[in-house]
Order: sequence, then C-alpha cells, then structure tokens
Amino acid sequence: MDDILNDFLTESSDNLARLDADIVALEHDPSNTVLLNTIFRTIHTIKGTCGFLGLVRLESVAHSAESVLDWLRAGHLFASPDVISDILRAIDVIKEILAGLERTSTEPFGDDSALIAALDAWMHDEEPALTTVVTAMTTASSNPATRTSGSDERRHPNGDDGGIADASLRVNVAMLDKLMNTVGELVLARNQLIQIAGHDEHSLYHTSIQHLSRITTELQESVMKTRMQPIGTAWSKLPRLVRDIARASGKQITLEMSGATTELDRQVIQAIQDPLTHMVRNSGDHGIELPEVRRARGKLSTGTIRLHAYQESGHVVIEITDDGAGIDPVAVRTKAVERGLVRREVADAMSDRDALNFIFEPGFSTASTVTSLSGRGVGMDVVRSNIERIGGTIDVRSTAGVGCTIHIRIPLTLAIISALVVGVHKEMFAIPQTAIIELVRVTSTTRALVETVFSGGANGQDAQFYRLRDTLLPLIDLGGALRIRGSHANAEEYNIVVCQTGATRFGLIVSAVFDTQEIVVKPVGRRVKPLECYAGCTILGDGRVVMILDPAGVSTIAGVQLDGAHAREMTSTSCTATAEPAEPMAALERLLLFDGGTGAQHAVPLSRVARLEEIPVERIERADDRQLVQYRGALLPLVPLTTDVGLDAMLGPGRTRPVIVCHDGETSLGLAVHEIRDIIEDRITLELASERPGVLGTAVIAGRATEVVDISYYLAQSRVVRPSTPNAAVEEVA
Amino acid sequence: MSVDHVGFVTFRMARQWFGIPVASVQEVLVPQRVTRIPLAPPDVMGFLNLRGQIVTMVDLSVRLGCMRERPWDRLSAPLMPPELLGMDVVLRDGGELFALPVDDVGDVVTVLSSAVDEVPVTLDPRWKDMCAGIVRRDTDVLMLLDPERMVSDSVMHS
Repeated sequence: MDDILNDFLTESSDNLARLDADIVALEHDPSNTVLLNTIFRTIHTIKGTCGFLGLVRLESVAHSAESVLDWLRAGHLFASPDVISDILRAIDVIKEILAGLERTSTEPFGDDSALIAALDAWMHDEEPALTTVVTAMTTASSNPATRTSGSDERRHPNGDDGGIADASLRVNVAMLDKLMNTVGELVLARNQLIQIAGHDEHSLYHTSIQHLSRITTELQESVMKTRMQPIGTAWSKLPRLVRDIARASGKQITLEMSGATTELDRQVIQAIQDPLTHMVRNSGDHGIELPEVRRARGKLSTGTIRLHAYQESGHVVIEITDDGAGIDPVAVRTKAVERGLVRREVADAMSDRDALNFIFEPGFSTASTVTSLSGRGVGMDVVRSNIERIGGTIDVRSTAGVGCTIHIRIPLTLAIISALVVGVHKEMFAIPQTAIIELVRVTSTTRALVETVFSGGANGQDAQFYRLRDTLLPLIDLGGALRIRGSHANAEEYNIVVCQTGATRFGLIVSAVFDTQEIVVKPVGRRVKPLECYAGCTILGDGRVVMILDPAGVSTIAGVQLDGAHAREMTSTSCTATAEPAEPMAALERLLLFDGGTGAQHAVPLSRVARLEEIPVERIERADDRQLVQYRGALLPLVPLTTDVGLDAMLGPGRTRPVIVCHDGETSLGLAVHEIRDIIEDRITLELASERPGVLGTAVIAGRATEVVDISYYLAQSRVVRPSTPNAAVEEVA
Repeated sequence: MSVDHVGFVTFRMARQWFGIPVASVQEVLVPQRVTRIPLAPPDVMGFLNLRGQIVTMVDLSVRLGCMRERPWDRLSAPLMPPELLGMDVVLRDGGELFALPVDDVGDVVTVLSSAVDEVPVTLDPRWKDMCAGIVRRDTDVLMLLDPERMVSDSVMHS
C-alpha cells in the first residue's frame, strides 16, 4: 500500500510540475486541443488513482477540475482567464493535498466546497460566477461531487494521441551519487596503474592500460550525464508566476523562454531555482510598467520577460531580460551614497555599469524611499550570494527606461570543478578556478611592488599590499591565515593568487603553484563543516586528500573585510561602460587590455594568456638574433609587439618589462608590451578587419578603439625560428 | 542495555582497555597517510582516504585528556614502520566514517547486559561524557564507549 502511495506521489508531482506551464500556455492558445487533452489526461489519472486509494478529498477536487476541462474539450466553454484561474486554484489545492500526503500519509483536512462550487458553476452558465454567489451555493449543496456526476458520460479517457513507450527508468539519486563515487575511485585506481606502468610502450600491459583508461573516461562522462537535467525543469513554475503577477497588478506580460534544453547538474538546478524565481518576480513586479505607462513611453503595451540559456565553455549562461523601466543609475548612486556604501566623489566617477552593481549590496535591500527603485534591490544580495556559492557570477546591465538584463554564469556541475593546486609550506590546497583572476609571481626583483603597512592588524600581522598595475591589492598570507608554521615573507620567490569574491579582490600568498586539475568535490564531514575557509575536499591522483579552499571564507578569517565600494574604488579607474547594445552579440569574454608600445589599446582573450610577468630589463638576453629570458628553468623567447621599437630602447635600466606569457603545446612565447592595463569582461565585436599580420582587427572595448591581437600568429612565428638546442644559446650569452 | 548480550571490539590506549559495539565498527586499518586540516578542532587530526571515501580522524586521547603510547601523528605515516604507529579503528556514525588511532586492538568480546555496571561518579567528566558503562574483568576494567559521543563536536577540552 505504501509503495503504491509513493509511486502515486512521485508520478503526480512530476505531472503537476508540467501542468502549471501547460495551463498557462492554454490560456494563450485556447483552441489547442492537444494541450487540452494532455491536461485532461493528467487530472484524470490523478482522479482515477485516488479513487482506488480512497483519497476522498483529492478525488472530489480532481473530479470537478476534470469536469470543467471536459467542458472545455467539448467546446461548451471558452478558456477565459477566469476559467483558467479557477483550474489553477484547483491544481494548487491538489498540490497542497499531495504535500500533506507525503508528510503524514493521510489526506490533510480542509474545506474545498467553495472551490468545487466555483468550478461546477462553469458548467451551468457561461458567465463567470461571482464569489458571493459561489459561497451562497456551497451551503445549498452538501455534496457537490455527486451533483456533477452526470458529466461522467461525456468523458473520453482514451482520446490519446501520445502513447510513446516510456524508455526511461526512475533511479534513486543516492544510487547515482554512489555510482559517481565508485567511478571516482576507478579513476584513481587507473591513474595509479598508469603511474606504475610508466610510459614503457613495450610493456605487456601498455595496450590494456590504454584501453582501460579510455573506458574509464567514457564511464565517468556517462555517469556525469545521468545527473544532468534540462534547465527547463527549473523554469516550469515561471509561466504561472508571471501570469499571477500580471493578473494581480493589471500588467500585460509575456514570458519568452529559449534554451530550455540546456543541461545542468541537478544539484546546480536546485541551487538556482530560488534566485531565478526571485529575479523573474522582480522583473514582473518592478521592471515591467503598467500598460498605460508603457504606451505613454511609446512601447508596446505588453511587456516581455525573456529567459535565455546557453552553454559557454564549461559554463551555462542564463540571461533574464525585460523591456521594462530599467534601473536608473543616478538613483542607484544617490541611494548608495545615502546608505554609506560609497563616497559621493567615488560614486560620481564610477561608470553606470559599475554603479548598477550596488543593487547586489546587502545594505541596499532595505530600500524604501526612491520610488523608481523600491524593491528592485530587495533580496538581490541573497541572489548574488546564492549564485556565488555555486561558483557562479552575476552581473546587471540596464538602460533607464529601456530595460534591464541580468547575466548569470554558472558551472555545469558542482561535482567536478576545475581547481588550481597550490602549496603552502608543506601542505597542498586546491582553489576553485572560478574565483581566480590571475597569478602573479613575486621574485627578488619584483619584491619592491609588495608594500607593507605596519598596522599590527588582524592576527597580529601587518597589512600587506601588492601594487598590481594601477591598483593596490590587499594580500593574505595563506600560511598565516591557516596558522601553518613557516613563513614566505622572507622567501626569495613566492606566488600571489589573485582572487575575486563578489566585488572584493585580494591576493593569496602561496609558496608554490602546481597545476590546474579537474577535481571531484567531496563533502567534508560534520566536524570540519563549520570551518568556513573550506569548500570541500578532494582526492588527488596519488590518493592523498587535499582540502579545497573557499576564497571568500579565507578572506573572512583573515580579516580582510573590504567592502565592495572600496575594492571598486581601487579597480574601476580604467573601466568605462559603452552604450548598452540592443541585440545579443558575441559571447562575453575576459579580456586582457594592454598598451603594446604605440600608445594604442590592445586586447587578447585572457583564455589565451598563461601568465603575466614583470621581467627586469637586465635579464633580457640576446642570442641567435632574438631576445630571450631565462624563465622557470627554460628559455622563453620574447617578441616585442610593436616591431618598430626595440625592446631595450623602450625602457631604461633598472626597470621591468611587462610580458604576456602564452603557451601552445610545446611552444612558449613572451609577448613584450609597454604596459598591462586591466582585465575586463566584454564582448569582442570586430568593427574593422585588419590587413596587418598579428592583428585580428579593431573593436571597441571599454570605450576605446582596441586592436585585437592574434596570439596564434606570434606563436606560429616563434615556432618557425625556434632553435633546436636552446641550452647552447644560454652558454653563449652567459 | 536492552539486548541480552552485545559484542564489543576492544582496543587499548596506554594502559586502559575500551570497548565499542561491533555494530558501529567498520574495520581496523594499518595507519594511513593523513591530511592535516588547518584550523580544525584540536581532536580532529585530519582526513584520510579509505578507498575513495573521506574518513575523519579523531584523536580520542585529546578528547579524554589521556596519553597514547604511540603519540606520533599520522602525517608521517608512510615513512614510519607501522608497528610504531599502532592501529586505526574505523567506526561509522551518522552515515560518516571516523578513524580512531589506538595503541592496540584486542579481541571482540561478548558482554552480558547484566555484567555492565554504572559509570562511577568520581570519573573524570570527560570520560563520564563518553562512557556507556564499565565491565569488570579478571584483571582490569573495560570502559564501554558510546560511539556517537566519541566523535560528536561537543568536545570538552582540557
């Protein structure tokens, strides 16, 4: 009996989730008989089963809803918004009863006579029944279910046109998690085996191990896929939500959704469900204006909220766009100053785009006075922290009066993340790649860029900063923050991992940087969970357990309490917003902006950049008619971006030369430039193609005409003239 | 005790023998490499990898305020001869695995519920917190431990 009830509950909740969306669709397309039949069938199935299970209350509500649907099918009734509203109410009651059943295994008590009467009223006259009339009628009929039993004859439960054989199975999620865990183990065992067997191609096992390896990878991918669900499952409640908002506020809103089949890990889908609902509600409540206001502004009286999802390099991007009132950056600035989030001068100097991001600040949510804004920021801080908790980013753009776009970028899965493995003294840690902006290597020659304020601050340490281009980057000594014995402060060379959480940017000092790996995230046990500096743990290829750091938590324990405004004050100097493009264009990318030497602004996608270095001019050597630098135990050819200026001529002695290091398989190359300016997120839309080799074209980036550099060209150039014995060249110059 | 007789896995720390119910013990391990967790509570020695599962290592001697004969931490486990390190008892509680480093593991003993005495009131409060009862044996006393309270986070630190 319990099993039957359980099956009934799972099946019904699946069906009901779809039902909301179907019914709203029906409202827009009342003559769609296929849709109507689907809805009818779902309700009919629920009614049929609950009769069998003896669920009286559920049966009577389902019965009435079914009867109304039957009238709709028969064409006796037109699917007007009021009819649809009543059917939706019935579905709400059904959901409520099912939820009660799930908790207590018995039907919860409740009085549905008003609802049933309202539903039944549709079959007596075509006019919408008034609420007062409905209540009056309930007293008249004590058993409404029997009263409408006459409609039973008209029911045709076999009006099926679907009937596709069900090719899927229901599998317990715990089972999938276990499978995932086992596959993770298999991967480790495979890696160990590869290590033992080495790279001996003549080994007896070589072919078998290769085979095993391939199968393991395939298996891992397949298991990952079993956990994927289309993002549409998180959207199924939204049509209903938007409809209710529109009806309640007298607005006309259409909801457009595209990319609903984009797949995400179920864990991620669960995590974004609430933030998504919140943002769509915001768009409907506060974004879209009333029809008369819209007409006065020369817009269509019906507002549109558009949801768009697509995949982009291991991430899923969700855009929520509305063509409503938008957010007024001037009002946001005023509010931010009032709230004490930022100083007036700073707020005024800030670009509109940066200013808009204040709506994500916690202090902003209590907004009440500025009417054009009120509510717009409500809970947005919660939305941002929810998105960031799963390694995502959120960004808002808006043009006052025209609309607003919220751009969310989230990882495909939480189970496997890309992480940088770093060393702190003798311990190893993993840092999620999503939080990392760049890596900076501090050597004896660049030590001067590390500044110390002898404040004796948190943890009794003096505050350290690094002069990163135009900004002062607060530094956290990871060893100190985690109280690991040892010190980097006097070490000759160390690394800074530049992290960003929210608007806060800071550098983590680590002793060594190993490599980037795809790691399987495992939860830490309950004894370690309260420590906010960890996001989980993982097992590396050699079997050792490594803790995954949560950069936000680390900054909290280290006492780096930068408020967002302060961080932005330091970093926003070169970022100016361009006019908001009306149409979607090229994908949003992280771009490195720099001055190649001619004074013009240059850009490369950050994905093509391995590292950024400051090389002292003295260390630049010349051999085989090219410039080289000894770099991490190998020789790195340096290529000046502008050929008409010699490398040394550009700078005097005692100075450093910014170098962009790029890799491509075997080939490494240092692109010598004049000045590194910024890293920003923007789209590359080439306005002018270039004739010049090494330049892809010109685009407007951060408000300036920018030459987009073709890294592949320089790498190819470097490959052609690469000397076969680089070590000989070293001896020659040394 | 409601059941007539219960099996206990016995282990020793310094001179004292302890018992935990067989049902909560998963296995006994030779020492493994342990990853230290900075900022963790003092009795949490770190994590170890048991066939792909994360196991939290809890040092009972810290919780009880007593000594172990072999107090070396497991950070250097692969470098030392195992006989110097003792053994690890792995127990399961609340769906999680915990490893307890001990000096020696003894037999599984069956204890009749009638043979279990109340914990003496004079016992150190840290011990009393964790003990479910004591059993008198021919030459010594066996302290029966409550697995849940051995690993819970409400630790009374010395």
